Amino acid sequence: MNMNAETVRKLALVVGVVFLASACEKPPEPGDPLPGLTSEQLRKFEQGREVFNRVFTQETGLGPLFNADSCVECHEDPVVGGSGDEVELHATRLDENGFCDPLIESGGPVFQLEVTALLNDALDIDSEPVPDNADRARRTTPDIFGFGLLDAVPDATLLDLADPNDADGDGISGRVGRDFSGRIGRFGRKALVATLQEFNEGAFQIEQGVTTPNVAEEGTVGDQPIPDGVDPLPEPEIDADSVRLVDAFVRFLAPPAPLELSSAGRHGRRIFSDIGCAACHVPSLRTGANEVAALAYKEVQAYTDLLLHDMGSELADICLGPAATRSEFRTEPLMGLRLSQVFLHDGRADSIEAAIIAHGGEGAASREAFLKLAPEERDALLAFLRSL
Amino acid sequence: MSEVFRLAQAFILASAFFVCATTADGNVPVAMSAAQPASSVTHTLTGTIRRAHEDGIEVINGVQLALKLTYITVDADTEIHREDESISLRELRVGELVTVTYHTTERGKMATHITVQPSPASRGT
Repeated sequence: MNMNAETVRKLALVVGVVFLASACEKPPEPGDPLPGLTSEQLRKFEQGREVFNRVFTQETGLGPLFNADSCVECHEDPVVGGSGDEVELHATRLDENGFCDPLIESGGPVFQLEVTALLNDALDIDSEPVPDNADRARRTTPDIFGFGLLDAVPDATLLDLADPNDADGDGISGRVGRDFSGRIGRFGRKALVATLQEFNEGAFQIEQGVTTPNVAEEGTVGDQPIPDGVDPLPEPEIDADSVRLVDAFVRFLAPPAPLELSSAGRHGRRIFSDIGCAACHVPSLRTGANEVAALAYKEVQAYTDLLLHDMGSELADICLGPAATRSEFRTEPLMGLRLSQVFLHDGRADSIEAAIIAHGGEGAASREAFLKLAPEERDALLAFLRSL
Repeated sequence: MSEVFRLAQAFILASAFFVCATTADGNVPVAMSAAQPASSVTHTLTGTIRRAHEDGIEVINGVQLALKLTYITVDADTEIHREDESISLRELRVGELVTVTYHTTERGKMATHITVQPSPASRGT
């Protein structure tokens, strides 16, 4: 088939327009949906955001124990889905068998800091009591940008990255987290949660005291059942459709696009690898097959390996689940780091620099290397991190 | 026509029974027959042993940090296996990962089989 010059020119024009249009596609801002969603997925994203913003009262399912009256009360900064300034309380106990007891009968491992007026009237308490001999930990609210992509990374990738016995001798020995059913965990500061769907659904009950079809029990207050009359709504207090919509909202939240790097930032990116940060904060993971095309086979600049690492006594607090010891934490994703106000799992660091200096255990060598950097190199590294 | 009505009625009743059985305690029924009583519905549960007792084990599983503690009763008919070997209740250890098949009786959740799963450490992770 021969094409004349006019046809070739027209084809070139079409290709050029398509290329320019894709090149000019605006990178996602914080709170934006993933690029490439279908109109139906975008509709669910918007509807899910409405449920995410829904404020519950004790008459509509809140409590009787809770940390927040809506998802957005915590995930709010700088936009819906971001981090928050709330700090919650987790507690467990390492028992005489070396087993990490999550204190389920006492309401653990999350001990809610608020109660409804009805529960306060019934028991005269302002928060859920914690057993005296429990280990306690503070937990800040992370942003949840890009979590759908993290969920879409295959388990096999985590297993490939794991090096539990430090076979390669680099001083880094990440291992996969596990939930109580033996599945590979990836969400939560101790990698106890296997799937984003469970991360989202469980949060209704844990954070808001709102029971769902799959988490239909309120739990206990100080080893005792919830008193009669303080939980007026029958379980479940939210329907499966609403849970699915919130899941869609969180799943389809895009990771904020990194800012364009200055030359110092580009130098800082090299330093990030040179001093070993990238051994755990792995710059890029690739998602696998997924029924949502926008989540399938994508590179996500997550800066995490989703594995547990021993961070030493400097950061240790509680054990959690069958895998994580007191000093083990899952590598925190750094996507959206520039939007955070406080750092580390308990918010003890008020700057990125303070967070790096607080690293111990497997992160100690990188911390020492950071401290030995020349001031301009340290600034370059921080410039890179502030671009994420 | 009345035959069709009876068939439809039977189908609806059977469907309702199945839905109730599925959602009764959040675990998965793996075998059932509409002709059998509800207690013969078999469920499976995979979780971690928190404590072992004279007549059973406490098993933890759950959704996210909304964890659930389930007491599983064991009797002489319960088959317990670790690595294809038959073991006794006393040999089960705190922290082991188990898959339990059970049905509900007047004594609670009665295990028919308990299988100890390989530990993550033995899988090299």
